[in-house]
Amino acid sequence: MGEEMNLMAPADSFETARGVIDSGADEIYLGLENRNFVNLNLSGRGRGCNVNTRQELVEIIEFAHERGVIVDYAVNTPFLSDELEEIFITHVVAGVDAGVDALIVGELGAMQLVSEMETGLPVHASVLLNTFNCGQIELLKDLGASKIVLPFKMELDEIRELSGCGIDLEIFGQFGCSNINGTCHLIHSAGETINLGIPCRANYLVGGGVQRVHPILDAGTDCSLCSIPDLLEIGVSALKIVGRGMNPEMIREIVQIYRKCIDLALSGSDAGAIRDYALAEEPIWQLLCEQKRCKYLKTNISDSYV
Amino acid sequence: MIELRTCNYSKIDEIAGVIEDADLDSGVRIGLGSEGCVHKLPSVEDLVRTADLDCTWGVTLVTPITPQKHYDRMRAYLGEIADLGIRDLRIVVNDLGILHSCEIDRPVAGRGIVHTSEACPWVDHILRDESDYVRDAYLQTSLNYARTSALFKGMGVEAIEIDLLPRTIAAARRLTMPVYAHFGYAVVAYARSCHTARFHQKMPPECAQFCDSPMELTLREIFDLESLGFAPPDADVAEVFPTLYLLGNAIYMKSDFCDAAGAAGVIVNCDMYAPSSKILYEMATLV
Repeated sequence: MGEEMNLMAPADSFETARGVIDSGADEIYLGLENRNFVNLNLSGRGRGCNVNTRQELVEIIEFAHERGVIVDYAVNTPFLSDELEEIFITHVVAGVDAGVDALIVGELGAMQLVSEMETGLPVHASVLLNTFNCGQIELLKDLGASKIVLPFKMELDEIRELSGCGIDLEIFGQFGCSNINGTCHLIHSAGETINLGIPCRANYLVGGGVQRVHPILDAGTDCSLCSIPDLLEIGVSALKIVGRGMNPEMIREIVQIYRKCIDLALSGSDAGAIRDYALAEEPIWQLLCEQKRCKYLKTNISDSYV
Repeated sequence: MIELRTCNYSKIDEIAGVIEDADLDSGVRIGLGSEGCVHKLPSVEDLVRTADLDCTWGVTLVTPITPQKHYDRMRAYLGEIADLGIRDLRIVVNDLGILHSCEIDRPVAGRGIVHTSEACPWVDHILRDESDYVRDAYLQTSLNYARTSALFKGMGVEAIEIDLLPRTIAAARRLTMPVYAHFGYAVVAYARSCHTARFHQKMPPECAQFCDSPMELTLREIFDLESLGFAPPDADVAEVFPTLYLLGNAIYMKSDFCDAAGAAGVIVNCDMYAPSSKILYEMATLV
């Protein structure tokens, strides 16, 4: 069984960073606001989901490094242009100079650019690149990636197979999208002033001969606790909690549960014991179990994987 | 050039009949395959049969986003196709791993790997406060970025496919490679967990029968992040949220924009229309 699966948590301020680190995160990921943008950003998330100032970023990094925690810098914008390239470079350098430990990149040309910048930092290929197979892993390795963030919807056997590609894999543990992230245009949490909610989890009137109100686009998978022993055995290098811009108290509690469950698995507990612990500690977790929103177990959501 | 595309291979003869009846000056191709679903790959026999039809200028094979469990099969399939030497075959690739690892003659990059943003139904709200240069960058195609374009060309890409949306096609006109534009419906998202299969409680590939025509989706209640519950959409949301169309594991929105000037061709997804419709005649006005 592996010993190196980092628990990775989101941060968008010093307070959230301190919260998830104190709760047991081994690695945090964050973006930095950029004044060239109002609602959008170069971090793959919009306004309100990023650290506000470079000074705050420096303080987070110092706090993290004092505790042996790795800081990944999200520069995974899915769009870039010749005109924005200088802004992007400056933004990357701001993080590098502040002392981040790795760069998360989400666009193919940007991946090449960051590699050419020779920052000396590892480059992680973002979920926005939709890396579903070993052919794409080879491409990203050629472009300088040292870790691949796999899509939200992967089967355990696929992760196992991809783990043989000779590169670190990061996968999603808690929360995530219904659709293939890098192809989805149902954009939310990007600084909008209208309440779109989460469009893929909405109720729709399904028309035609059906005429039924149904959350038909909701394929959200929210939990991976029961799969932790398998993920450790496979050798996944990081288990990621989604949640930049989300309720910090909730994220802290989730990180605490995952920390404890990873430690239980490392000490030999099986999936059943881990689940029992989580339900005893956080009875509300029962809701997730009842909804069968398991990321890596067989459910009606995974049964529908193409 | 017009391409009539389908994933329902029982329609091939019907589409051929539409092409013959239309008597167009412009060439018409038939496209087979899905951008997002591996279970809709055409059989080699259907591909060869379509290529041999006298009424077409050739056949297009659309290959989908390819999860690892289908990866070897997809590569073997493409190898088999390559060995056949089908004349006037064009292959559209929607997966970077397939593009990188398979030897495909002059591949076309499909919407699964060409990033655009205008298919966000509320893109103007997202961009409302941004500067002009940020808007321009956001609304172009990923291949307008020179580095990304060079990488695609390095993998042999000679053309791309995009949605026929006004700002996307305007940006695509600046590219130095042919662009094929999808008429009528823009892709809003692809899903790995097929929404159609899940809704009908049929596992792929047994769900194929439900992919004959799209399902219309009208927003009734948002999922509110504050209350973590459903709530009626307010007027502002209702104004920007369009009717969505679900076909298999792809979500679309309608687009009435039809100025394809500058595009090398226009693609019509026949599965979104009744085959007897006059869609081809409408298309003839675009080329």
